Amino acid sequence: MGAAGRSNQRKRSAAHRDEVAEEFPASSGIDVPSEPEASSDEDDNVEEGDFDATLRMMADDQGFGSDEAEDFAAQDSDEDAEDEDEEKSEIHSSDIDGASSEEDEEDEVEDEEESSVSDDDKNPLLVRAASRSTEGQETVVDSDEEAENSVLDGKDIDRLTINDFGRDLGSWKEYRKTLPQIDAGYASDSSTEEPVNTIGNVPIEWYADSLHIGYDIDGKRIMRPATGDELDKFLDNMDNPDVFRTARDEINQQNVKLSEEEIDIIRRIQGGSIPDADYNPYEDTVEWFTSQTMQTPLTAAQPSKRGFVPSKWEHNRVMKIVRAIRQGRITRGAPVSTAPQYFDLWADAEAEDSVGTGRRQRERLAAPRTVLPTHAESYHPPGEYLPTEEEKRKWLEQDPDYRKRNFLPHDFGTLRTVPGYDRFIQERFQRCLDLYLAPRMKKKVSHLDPEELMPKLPDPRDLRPFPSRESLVYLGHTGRVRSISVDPTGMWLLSGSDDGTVRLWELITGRCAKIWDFKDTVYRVAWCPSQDSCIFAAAVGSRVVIVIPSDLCDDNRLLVSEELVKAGFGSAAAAETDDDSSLPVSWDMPTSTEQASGMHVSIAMHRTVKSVTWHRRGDYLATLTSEEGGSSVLIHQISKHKSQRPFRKLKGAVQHIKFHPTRPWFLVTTQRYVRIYNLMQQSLIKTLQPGVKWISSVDVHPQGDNVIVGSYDKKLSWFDLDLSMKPYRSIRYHSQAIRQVQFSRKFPLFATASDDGTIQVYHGMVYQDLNQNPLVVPLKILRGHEIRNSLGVLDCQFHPIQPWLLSSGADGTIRLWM
Amino acid sequence: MDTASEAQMQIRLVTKQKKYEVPDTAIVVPQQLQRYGLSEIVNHLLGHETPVPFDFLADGQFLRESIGSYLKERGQSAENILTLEYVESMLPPTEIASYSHDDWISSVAAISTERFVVGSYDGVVRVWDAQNNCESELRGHSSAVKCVAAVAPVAAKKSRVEAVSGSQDRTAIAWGTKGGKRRALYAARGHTDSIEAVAVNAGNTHFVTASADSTIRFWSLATPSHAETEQPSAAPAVKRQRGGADVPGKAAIGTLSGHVGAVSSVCFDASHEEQVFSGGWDHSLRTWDVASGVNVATSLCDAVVLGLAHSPASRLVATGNTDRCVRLWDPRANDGSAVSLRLASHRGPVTSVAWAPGSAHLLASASHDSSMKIWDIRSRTPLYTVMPARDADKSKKLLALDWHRSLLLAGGESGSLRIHSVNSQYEDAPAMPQS
Repeated sequence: MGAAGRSNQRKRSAAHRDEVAEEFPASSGIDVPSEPEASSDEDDNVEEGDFDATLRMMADDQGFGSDEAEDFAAQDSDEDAEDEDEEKSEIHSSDIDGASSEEDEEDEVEDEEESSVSDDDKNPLLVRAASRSTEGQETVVDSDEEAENSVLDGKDIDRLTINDFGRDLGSWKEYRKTLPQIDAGYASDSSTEEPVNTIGNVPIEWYADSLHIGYDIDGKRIMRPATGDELDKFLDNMDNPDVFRTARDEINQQNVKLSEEEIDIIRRIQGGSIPDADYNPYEDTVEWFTSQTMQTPLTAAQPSKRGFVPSKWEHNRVMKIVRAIRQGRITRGAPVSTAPQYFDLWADAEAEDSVGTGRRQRERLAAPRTVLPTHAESYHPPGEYLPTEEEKRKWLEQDPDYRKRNFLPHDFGTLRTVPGYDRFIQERFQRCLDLYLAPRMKKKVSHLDPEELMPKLPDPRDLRPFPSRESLVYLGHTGRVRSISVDPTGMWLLSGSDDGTVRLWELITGRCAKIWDFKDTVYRVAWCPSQDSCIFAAAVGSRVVIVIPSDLCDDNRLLVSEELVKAGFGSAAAAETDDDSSLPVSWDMPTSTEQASGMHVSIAMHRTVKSVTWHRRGDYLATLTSEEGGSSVLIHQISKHKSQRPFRKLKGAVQHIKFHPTRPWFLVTTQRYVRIYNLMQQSLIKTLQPGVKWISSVDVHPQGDNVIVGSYDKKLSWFDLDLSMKPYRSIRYHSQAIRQVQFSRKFPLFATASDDGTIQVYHGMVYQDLNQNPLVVPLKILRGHEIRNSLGVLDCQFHPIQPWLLSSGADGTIRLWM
Repeated sequence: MDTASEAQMQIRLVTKQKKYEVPDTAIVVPQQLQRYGLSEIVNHLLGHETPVPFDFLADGQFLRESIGSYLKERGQSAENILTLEYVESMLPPTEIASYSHDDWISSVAAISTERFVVGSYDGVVRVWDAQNNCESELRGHSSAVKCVAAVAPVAAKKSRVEAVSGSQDRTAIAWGTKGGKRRALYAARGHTDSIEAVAVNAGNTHFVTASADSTIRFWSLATPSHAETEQPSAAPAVKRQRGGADVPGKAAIGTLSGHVGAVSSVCFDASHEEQVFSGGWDHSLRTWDVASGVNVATSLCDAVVLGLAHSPASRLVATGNTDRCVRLWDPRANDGSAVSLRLASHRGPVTSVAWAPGSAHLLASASHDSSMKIWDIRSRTPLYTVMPARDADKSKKLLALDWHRSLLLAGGESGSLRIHSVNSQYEDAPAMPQS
C-alpha cells in the first residue's frame, strides 16, 4: 500500500472511530481504539495496531467472514499492497450505496439475537460489568466464538449491544460491527481490576451513614456488606492464618487477600529495589549498531553510494565559492563598516508607515466589524420597533440601495413560525460580488484639522500699521461728499460735495480752513501731485477749475504754481486754433472775485465732468465727461492750456480714467474691461478682463505692476500685469457695490469703499522677487459711515505719509481712520 | 467667614512729606485693607480732626487694590513687613472759570496766574486776566494762530516780550508792551510753512519755533533794533495781507533740520539751556543742541507726536501721540528702549501734554476725545479724568493745555478756555512765591 493510500485509509478509519466513539460514549467496554489521531500519527506501533483494527472493521462491513477478517488482519503489512485497489473500490461502493445485501442477512441474525437477549436482562452492559467484576479478569471476545456461538453468553453481550444500537440508529448501519476483544497484556489498562465501586475519590466516610457504600458502573447502589463488630474482627484475625496478607479495600468495604506476587512486590518496594522480579537491570548490552564492519552484517543491503563517493552538490557549492573568490567577489576579511554602531529604534516604524516600501508582504485587511443585531432584528420585536403602515410604504417606495435597513422588522410571535429567509441566496451572491468587485481597501484615516486647509496667512497684528479705528470726523458738508483728496505733504485735506462746495480741512485737527462755493455739484477734487506747486483741480458741473490755495504755500511755491497755471493764457488762443477746433473745450480766465479766492483757470466743457486725474508730474490733467465716444476722455496740459483727445473712438461708456504711476501708460476703464494704452506709442497694451459686470474704479499699485479693480457687483479683482489678463485674485467681501479702491502710496495697504457703509482694509504686499506672488490679507473692516439712499462710502484715500485712511460718505461726513 | 479676609500682616508707613510723618514702627493691619482704610489709619495716627486723604505707594507704584491682592498679584509673602510710602492725595481739579471765544482755541499759555495768552484759529491772540476780562486782542497774523508761548514777567521787563505766537501764515510774532500799548514787537520770518509750535527757554532769552516745513528755527527773544528781513510786501505775487506786515522782521539764529515731514511740537530742556526736544510727523522724538545745531539723538515710536513736554524734576519727556497714548521717554537712555512708559486711556489722539511745574510724577494730557486726564506716572491709570461740563462740548476736541502753578488751562474746538484749579499741596511741589 502506497503512503498516500495509507494515510487516506488512516484518516478514514480515524473518522469512523470518532463517530463510533461519539455514538457510544458510555460503552467503554467496546474496544474501539480511541487514541487521539495525533498520537496515532506519531507512534508507529500504535498505528499498526490501529490499522489492523480498522481493517477488521472494514472487513466486517464488507461481509467478510470473521475468520477471513481475522486472517486478513493477521497478514503482514507487505501484503496490503496487493489488495489495495480492490479494497479501495469496495470501500467506495459501500460508502456510496449504503446498505447492501449483506445487511439484510445481518438483520436476520440480529433479530435472533435480540429475541434471545430479551429474557435475560434489559441492560446488557450491566450484566457485562457484573460478570467482569465477578470474574476479576479481562473479557476476551473471540471472534471465532462469536461466529459460531448463538447461545447467550456474558462474553457475547458486547456484540449484541452494538447490534441493538445499530438497528435503532437505522441509517448508520454501516458502522455496526463486532470487534473482537483485544487481549490486553500486562501494560494494558484493562488488566488492572476496575473497582466495582465507582464513587471515585469521594471519601468513603461520606457514605458512613448510609446503607450503601457507593454506586456501580450502572448507577445501582452497592449495599454495604455486613460487617461484624470489633470482637468479630478480632476473632476473625485470630482465626485467619492469612491475616498478615489481608488488606482492607475501603472503597469496596472488603478485605482482600494479597497474593504471593503482590507481597513480593510490596517487599521489593519496601526494600527499595525494582518491584518487578523479572526485570534484570544488569543485562548485557547488545550492540546492534557498531562502528566495526561486521563480517556478516545485520542487513544484506549494499552500503550507500554516497557513503564513499564525494558529493557532487557539495562540490558545486564549493566551486561556487571558489569562483567567487577568483573573481574577487569574496575578499579575505569582512569589510569593516565605518557606520556608527547603534540600534536604529525607529527603522521598522518608518518602514511600516510607508506601505509597500518596507515590507513586501501585503498588509492584512481586518474584516469589517459586524453590527450586532438589535431589537429590530428580533423575530418578536417590541412594539415600538415595528414599522407603521406609513413607514412600510415609505420603505417599499425607497430605492433598495438607499434603505436604512434592508429588511422590515416583523413580529412572528414564535420562533417556530419564522419562515426561511427568502433572500439568502441573493444576499450571499451580492456579498460575493462585493468581495470580488470591490476588494476591501485599507482606509487611510487622515486626521486633518480644518484649520490646516485655510491658507497660511499672517496674523493681521503682525501687519501693523494699518488704519483700524475712527479718529476724526470732519463735519460741515451738507451734501454727499463725492470726492476727497489729501495734499502731497499730508497736512491738508480737500473735499468736494454735492452741496456745491469744496472745503479745505486741516487734516490733524479737523478744522475747516477754507470753503469755495461753486454752487454746482463737485464731482471730483484732486491735488496736483507735484511737490513744487500747490494746485488742485476740481470738477464742478461741466467745468474743471484749477485753484491755488494761496494761504497754504509759501512765496516760492506760490510763484511756481501761478507761473504754471497762468503761463498758458498767452498761447491759449493760438493752441486752440491750430488744434482741431471740434474739441469741446474752452480755457477761461475766471472772474476777479473767483480769482481772489484762488481760482486761476476754468476749463469749460460741454458735458458734466465726472472725473479728474493728474499725471504724476503735475502738468497733465485728464478729464472724463459724461458724453459717449472718444471725446469723453481729454488730456489737458496745464502749462500750455492745451487740450487733446487721445482716443478718436472708444467702445462703451468710460467709467474711470487713470494715469499709470511709473510708465507713460493710461488706463481707460469701460463697463467691463480695463484697457491700458501707451500714450507715447499710441497703442493698446493690455486689456484686463475682471469678469465683472460693471467696473466702478481702478487703482494701480505704486510700483506699477499690479492693478486692483473694484466693481459695482461687489467684487474686487487683483491683477498682476505681468501674469495674465485675468485676475490673480477675486475677493468678494462687501455686501454692496464697491465705489472706490485705493492703494496706499507708502504702505503695503489697499482699501475698498462700499455702499454697505464699510471700508475694508487689506494688506497687499508686492514683492520685488518676481517669483513670489503678491500677498493679500484682509485686515480690517472700518464701520462708521451711515448709509443714505442706499449710498454708503463714496470715496476713500490713503494719507500720503501716514498709515491713515480718509473716507467720505453719502452722509456728508469725512472720516479719518488711524 | 473667610479666613483670607481676616488675614493680617505687618506694614510700615513712611512718607517724604515732613508734616505728615508718623512713627516708623510696623503695625499689623488686615490684608483686605485698601487705600481708604490705610488713609484712615494715617489720619488716626496723626490725630487729624478733619481727615486728609492719602495715597499709598508700594514699591514705587500706587496701591490701587487691597494689600492682600497686591501681594498675591506679585507673588510676595505676607510674612514680610511691607513698606508703604504715603503721599497726600491730589484732590480732583475744580473748574474755576471758563472764558469763551468765537473760534477754536489752538493754544494757551499762562504768563502768570493772573494773565493768560490764548491763540485762536481766527488769527487773534488774546490776553485774558483772571477776572474774565480780555485785556487785549492782538491782531497781526493773517491766518490761524497755531501756538503761543508765554515769557515770564520778570524777564519781560528786560526784553519787553510777553508772549510769542506762531501761525499758519508762517510767521511768529513777539508781543509786548510798547508805548503803553500791547502790540507786535517783531515778526520772526523764515519758515516756509505753518508754524506748529513755539517754546521759550527757561532763561527767557531765546525761543524756538517748529514748523510744518520740517525745520526748527532758533531765535533770540530780544527785540531787534532794525528789520532783519525783507518786508513781505516785496514778494512779486499778488499783494496779500501777510502776518505782521507792518512790524520789523527778525531772522533766525539757527535752523535745525533733520525731521522728515512736519514738526509738530518743540520744547526746551528747563535744566539745560541749549537742549531742545522736538517731535514730529515722522514719529520721532529728537534731541537737539541748539548752540551747534546738531541733532544729538533720535528715538522713534509708532505714531505721530502731537504734543511734547519735558519735566526737569524727573528728566523725562512726555509726548502725546495720535495712537491715543501718552508716552514717557527717557532722553538719556541710549539702549534703544527710549519709551519708558505708555499711558493709554484716552479715546482719541492726544494733542497736548503738560507736566505739573516742579513735579516728577504729575502730568496732564488733553485729547481729541474732549477729556483732560491727570496722571501720576507711578500708576498706569489716570488719577482724574476731567470732562467738559457742558454736554455740547463733550464731542469737541481739546487742542491746547498748559499747567501753570496750580492752574490748569485747556482749550479747544469748543472755543472756551477752561481754567482748573489743582490741589497745589500735592507731594513735593515747591512752595510757590505768591506774586
